Amino acid sequence: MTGLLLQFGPTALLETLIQGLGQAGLYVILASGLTLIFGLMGVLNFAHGAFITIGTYLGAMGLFLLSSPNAAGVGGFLPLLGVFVLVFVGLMALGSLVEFGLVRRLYGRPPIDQILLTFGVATVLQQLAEIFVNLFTGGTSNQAQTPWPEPATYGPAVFGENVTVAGLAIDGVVLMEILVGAVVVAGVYLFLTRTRYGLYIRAGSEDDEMAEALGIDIRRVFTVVFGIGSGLAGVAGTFLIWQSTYDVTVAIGAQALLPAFIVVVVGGLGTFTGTVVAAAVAGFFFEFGVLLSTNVFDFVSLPQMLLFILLVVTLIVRPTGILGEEEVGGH
Amino acid sequence: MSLLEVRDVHTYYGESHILEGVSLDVDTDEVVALLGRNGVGKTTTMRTILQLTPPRKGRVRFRGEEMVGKRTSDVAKRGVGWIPEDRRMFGNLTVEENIRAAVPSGSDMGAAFETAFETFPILEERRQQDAGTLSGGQQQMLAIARGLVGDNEMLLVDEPSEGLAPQIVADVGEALARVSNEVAVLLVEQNLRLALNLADRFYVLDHGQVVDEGDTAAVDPGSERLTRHLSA
Repeated sequence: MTGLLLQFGPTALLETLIQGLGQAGLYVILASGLTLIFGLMGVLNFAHGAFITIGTYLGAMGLFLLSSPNAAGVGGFLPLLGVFVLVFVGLMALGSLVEFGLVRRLYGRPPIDQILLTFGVATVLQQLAEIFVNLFTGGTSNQAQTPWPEPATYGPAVFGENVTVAGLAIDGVVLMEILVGAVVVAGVYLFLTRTRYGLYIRAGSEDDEMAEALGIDIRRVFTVVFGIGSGLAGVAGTFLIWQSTYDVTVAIGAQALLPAFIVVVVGGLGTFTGTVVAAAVAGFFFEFGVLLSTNVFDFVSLPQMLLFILLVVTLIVRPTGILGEEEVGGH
Repeated sequence: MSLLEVRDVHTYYGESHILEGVSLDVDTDEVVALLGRNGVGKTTTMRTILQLTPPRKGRVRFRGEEMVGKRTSDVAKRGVGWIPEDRRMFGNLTVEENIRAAVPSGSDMGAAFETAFETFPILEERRQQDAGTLSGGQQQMLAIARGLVGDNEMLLVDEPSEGLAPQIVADVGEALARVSNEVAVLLVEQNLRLALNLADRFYVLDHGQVVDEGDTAAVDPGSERLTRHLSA
């Protein structure tokens, strides 16, 4: 391994580390909602992918409305902030509605019922997104499945360029992912540890019946958490617009759901700290795979394969995940 | 009108008929002991009052208001606190956070901490410690403190002495005696001496039915009246 690393210069390795941090930031945004929802409610939310897809398209529409192609300077970032807020609030409302109208009817039922329900919600939302995209574009039935590159040309100009930081060439969107990832980690951490609702969420995660007996309306807490989780999924979906490894199609959420699940399982089901650690590990694994596949092996799927190796090794060596207490499948 | 009125309550777990027409009353500032062997429905009675296990038939009224059909959090908000059998601390939350979670929003948090720490000074020393790392006695104190700070008019206290060393049982008994000066208490307790010392009245449950009731002053722990229902 050391020999393998030595054939790259320190610059390439440092750039890989920073790219890995960016990937970790993206994974944190993708997986935070999943882990919060599972941690409190014990619901493995398969609709998360559909929320990501809707976040991508809502983000694209927000960019067309508020931003302009390759906007330079601060003028590119302020509309982007507006798009993130729009997407977060929109998806939070949709997620809260789904929890309030559908998911809460199945609390106390076997986990398979909730999985089937959220899978059904995902399928319906995915189909609705497809119908909407085809209507909006006036295109043929496969328009929603065809990569749509235009939204990626909107937003800050720096997203399409390399930025030089301390002599290292870093993709502008990677720096943004690191920043937003850090904001999400800090925001969720502060929300969980410094607010009354965060306290209720942590108490309810441990013993929802006792929390209810203390006068905490745990159903309202569930709705808020589902909403926040869905909002974060939407923001992650918007970020995928600029990811070279993802095409903007209605399948984008399903594609992104896989690494999100890997991060949640590797970190330990329902632990936010575990998710952050796992996102960092997975981010570095992925970018190390990119480094190897572009310089050593001609094997484009190596980064994804490394993620699955990470998952398999974790499940064998530590079935609870890095910081989890409950074994996967241990219900 | 009593503070708490339970009337002809029938509660089931699945198809198992656990409470078969239980009726009882608890008045303001009264301590009432609910006695009986293991498995006769004492804990289920508390869960029924809290609507954690709602009855299929019967009424539960608190301050004259019907509780059946309400959510547990609504029952708790009306002033019914629960100190459960196995304490059920939030083990990964600190002592302070456990107390904070029990204080209703809008209540004076500072006053709540003062009440809790005045009653149990050891909890102030352990304020930043995770509740899961406390000893059994300290966890019981925290459980009682959570009940105290909840602006409750009544506490449902389930087996507070279970698994505790004799000296700790005495401390817990003393704390409950102080608590009972401020709120009404429905107490389930296997330690008959402790239960009769604390309570003004008692009910005896057997096979999901109230089979005896009376003033604690009229009985002693060894009396035939109690032992025929309580001995294994």
